Amino acid sequence: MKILKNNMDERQTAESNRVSAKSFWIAYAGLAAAIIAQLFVFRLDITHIAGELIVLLICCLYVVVGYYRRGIWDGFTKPGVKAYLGYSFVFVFLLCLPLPLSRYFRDGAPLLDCLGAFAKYFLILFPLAFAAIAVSGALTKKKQKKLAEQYADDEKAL
Amino acid sequence: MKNKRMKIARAECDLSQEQLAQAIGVTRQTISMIESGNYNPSLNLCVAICRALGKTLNDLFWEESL
Repeated sequence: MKILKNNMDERQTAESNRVSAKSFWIAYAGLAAAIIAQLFVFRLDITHIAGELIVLLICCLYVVVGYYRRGIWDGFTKPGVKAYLGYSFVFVFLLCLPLPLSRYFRDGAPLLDCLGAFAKYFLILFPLAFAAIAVSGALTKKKQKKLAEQYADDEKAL
Repeated sequence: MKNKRMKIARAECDLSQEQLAQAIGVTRQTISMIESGNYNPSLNLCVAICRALGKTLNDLFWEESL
């Protein structure tokens, strides 16, 4: 099998990577939004969105493993309790919002019932999210330490 | 930041942007963008440009104000 030669120079490759990265995040966010809308707003059965869910999970896994292998957390925070709390709170808040909102605006359910449902889902999901992010943070810190040792300043080699 | 020294060095070697690009394996647009300051080349590409023009990294890529 003849392997195709890449004719792009380093600048074109860098620009191509920037375009690909942005389009990945657009697709990722769009997929997540579509799944949430179909599940919680349009109330479709989970079997209807199984394909999209599998694709999203593969993307999540690829990103998580890729960042872990390189010992990268993110550009804004360091792995620690404050970051774990912040990210868990934001993620679970956004995830728990659509269903109660849908019940309130679409079904006319009482506001207190919707707030109660929101609180119930939040209290269940928040500890799970915190635990998952904390494990990820701990593994990342361990990997960062391993990479630092691997690429230590070896003065003996001089 | 524009790289006038690279442009002058290229002119001294009597090379067009296309010829320099072909010599180091990049596109003419990349050479143009480096000279106009719209692209920061990697160290490898800087070294390749210096070799093609017979100059050092200091000659072409160090800051003029220093």
